[in-house]
Amino acid sequence: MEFDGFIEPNSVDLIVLGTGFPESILAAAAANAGRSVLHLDHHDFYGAHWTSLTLPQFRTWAASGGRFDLPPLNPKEQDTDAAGDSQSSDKASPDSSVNQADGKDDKEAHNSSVQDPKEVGGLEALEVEYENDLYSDVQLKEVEGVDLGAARFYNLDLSGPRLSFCGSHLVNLLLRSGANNYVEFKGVDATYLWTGTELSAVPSSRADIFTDKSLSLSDKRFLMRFFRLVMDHANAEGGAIPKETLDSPFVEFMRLQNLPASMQSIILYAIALVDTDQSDESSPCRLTTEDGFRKLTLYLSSVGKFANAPTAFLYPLYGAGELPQAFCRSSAVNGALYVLRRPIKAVLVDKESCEYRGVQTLNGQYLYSKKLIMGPSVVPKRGPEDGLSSLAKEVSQTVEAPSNAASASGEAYSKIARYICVTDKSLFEGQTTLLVIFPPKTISLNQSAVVRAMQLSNAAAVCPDGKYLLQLSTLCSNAADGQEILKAAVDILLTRPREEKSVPAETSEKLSSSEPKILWSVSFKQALQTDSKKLARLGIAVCDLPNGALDCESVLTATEKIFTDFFPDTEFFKKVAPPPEEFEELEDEVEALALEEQKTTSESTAKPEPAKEGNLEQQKVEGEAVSEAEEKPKPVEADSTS
Amino acid sequence: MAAGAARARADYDYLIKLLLIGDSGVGKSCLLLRFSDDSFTTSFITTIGIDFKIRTIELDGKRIKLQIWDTAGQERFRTITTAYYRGAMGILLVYDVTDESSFNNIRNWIRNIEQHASDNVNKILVGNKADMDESKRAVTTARGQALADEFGIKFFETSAKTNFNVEDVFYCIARDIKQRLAETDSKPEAPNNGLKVNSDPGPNKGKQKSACCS
Repeated sequence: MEFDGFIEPNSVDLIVLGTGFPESILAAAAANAGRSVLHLDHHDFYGAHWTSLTLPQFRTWAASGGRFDLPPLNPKEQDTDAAGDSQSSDKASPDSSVNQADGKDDKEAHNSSVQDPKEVGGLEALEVEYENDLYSDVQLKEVEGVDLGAARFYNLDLSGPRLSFCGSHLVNLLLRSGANNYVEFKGVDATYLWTGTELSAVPSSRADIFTDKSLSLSDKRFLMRFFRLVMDHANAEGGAIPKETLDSPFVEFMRLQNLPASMQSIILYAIALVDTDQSDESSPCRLTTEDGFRKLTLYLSSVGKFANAPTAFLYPLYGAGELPQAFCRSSAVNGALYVLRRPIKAVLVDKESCEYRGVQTLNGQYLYSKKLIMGPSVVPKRGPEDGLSSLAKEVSQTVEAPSNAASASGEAYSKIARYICVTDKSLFEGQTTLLVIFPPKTISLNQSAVVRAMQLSNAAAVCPDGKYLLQLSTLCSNAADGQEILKAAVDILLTRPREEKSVPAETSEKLSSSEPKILWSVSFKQALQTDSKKLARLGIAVCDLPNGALDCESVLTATEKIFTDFFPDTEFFKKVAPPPEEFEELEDEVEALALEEQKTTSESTAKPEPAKEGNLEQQKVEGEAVSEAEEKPKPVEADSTS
Repeated sequence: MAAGAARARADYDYLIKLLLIGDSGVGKSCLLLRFSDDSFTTSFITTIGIDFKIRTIELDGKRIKLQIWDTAGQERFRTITTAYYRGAMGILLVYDVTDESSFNNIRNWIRNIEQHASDNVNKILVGNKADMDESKRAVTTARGQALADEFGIKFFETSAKTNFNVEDVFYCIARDIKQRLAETDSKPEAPNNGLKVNSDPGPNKGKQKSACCS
């Protein structure tokens, strides 16, 4: 096993450092486009800042103040099977088909990969380190004497709460990458909006709106007319609304359309999922009408898209950390090589042109690639050494900020406060997977950003049976307000008066008799940007930290931009993966035939690479389905799969 | 995971997810291709592009759909995603009888399984490349059997090349899993009403289009 061995081949098209969500998608997209990809992570787990941790992992992380310590570096395997390892590594390497393709002798490759780059000529090694201060104010509270159940059944998201719209670009990318085979979802049961006095259910379908007793008939009429306007605009060639209106704030547009105030709040905060206060006219991040329309269209196309998704939202089973892993597997299936526990210590650049050339691992290997994509925690080494002076002129030239709501809010919000707790009871009897939105100023007057809470359970495979998880987050500044506001939100959720429901007396009695209790909790802040300047060189791109958004769309936009900048002539996931179920059916039919022939000929018609065959046969069907899914939210890309 | 009991579609009685695990080069993909496609190639070494394969078999009059997953090469640096283990009902632990270290590493792989797979997953130990000349053999059948006994699991020596015992090993683990599922069928298992994102539109897909336009 090449546990700590050298990496073969040592020269590829793309090296990706870090297995966070954007990095993993980029690795998968490049591998999917036929590029050779080497994907490294210094952690011993997948997902980086986007991972989901078990309870013991979370405790270790919290105990070190929110740091992931580098796994010990041991170039020589320390295990008892060290000898065996090196043997197997020696034996396996020459067999590697990748190596064969390179036509290189094994020893030769090893020699070149440990050579000093200065001798190779013209290369300069810029030392890097891993930023370890991205999390702060970590407070973990254990409750004495409670039984949390099996610790390893917990999957606690480091970047939660985070959901996906059913009709989102993410779902589309899962299909196009084939990663949809590697992750399953739980539909969110219901969304609630905190009005300041009560939790009101957010209507998730037209039927819901009609039965909603809080809306008058005329309100409903205004609302229907408004939805129609949005849909007409989406369907009309070139749009039906003048540009001037589209650029105006969405909140003002809704006011002009006579939408009831309660509906405005629902649309802004529970449907368009804005992060900040929209009534504040001085705010630089007010949603435009155009973006509001886009979000609303996305929402409307998401409702009812999947049979067992009751609302517009999906959450990945086993936690949000499954998403990067799904893309990593898709990438591996397309030939990318994966190595965890492999930190780097330097980035190699051309002395003359400053162009990126390769990296040096901490255990001394030189790896070369045309392009480098890095997670946000790889930063130039600080200190008075040569690193600083040579970097000085590059330092100011930071990578351009991604266009997403969280960073667009600029100085005002430099951090995200996150909170996770384990409870012993659902907030609403009979519902497991819930989203609760607290619009600005509904918790306290100093609450300037939206607070979101998500309840998850065993139904999403993130905790043992009978336990529930609450995840909350809000944008905040350096001051402590974020964590206080989240605690206030949790208090509201747990102690709010239980509504009298039309349930048997026995049940309602049980409801009112005891509120959900907190059995374990952790609260922390995550930086939105690294303090250190990023390495800006030709051929290097840096991915973002998780932002404050609830869905993944803004992250995907920034991610796709990196890809198109790097590979301008390559489509972002161009191949369409075969729909697995239909493909299986095909296999089944083949198999049934074989059985009928009483196994006289056991030769299946499937070839060693049936995926490719299936691809051709299914492409049409799949292509239609995908472009249909994409049609509404992003008409521009509707033809990308044809 | 899910009880694997018959789903809405009646083309099988049980759907069983199997994983192949073991060091690089022990022949996991070869075993898979032999079983699913009855093909074998010696030039095929590093796993690229093998995702999972399907084969439906019949056991005691029941149709068992086996979905068998390969590691996609992620075992090479012991960097298999934890997601790989989700929902696995059976795991074939494969070593190469001519490679001592691949045998020794079985213990590491079992530790990995204990960490990430569900507790009741069925395991079976497979010593592959049994066709190789005795002079090249590094792990005797007796040692393989002893290790299997230690973990209380079944043991086979196989050869993907000569098709020796390949059918038997897959049928054996399938039979054990089928029996386990039949016994626990009525008991609630871990959640597996998971929603798969595929191009199948939901039943009310059509409704949604007109939802707001009337």
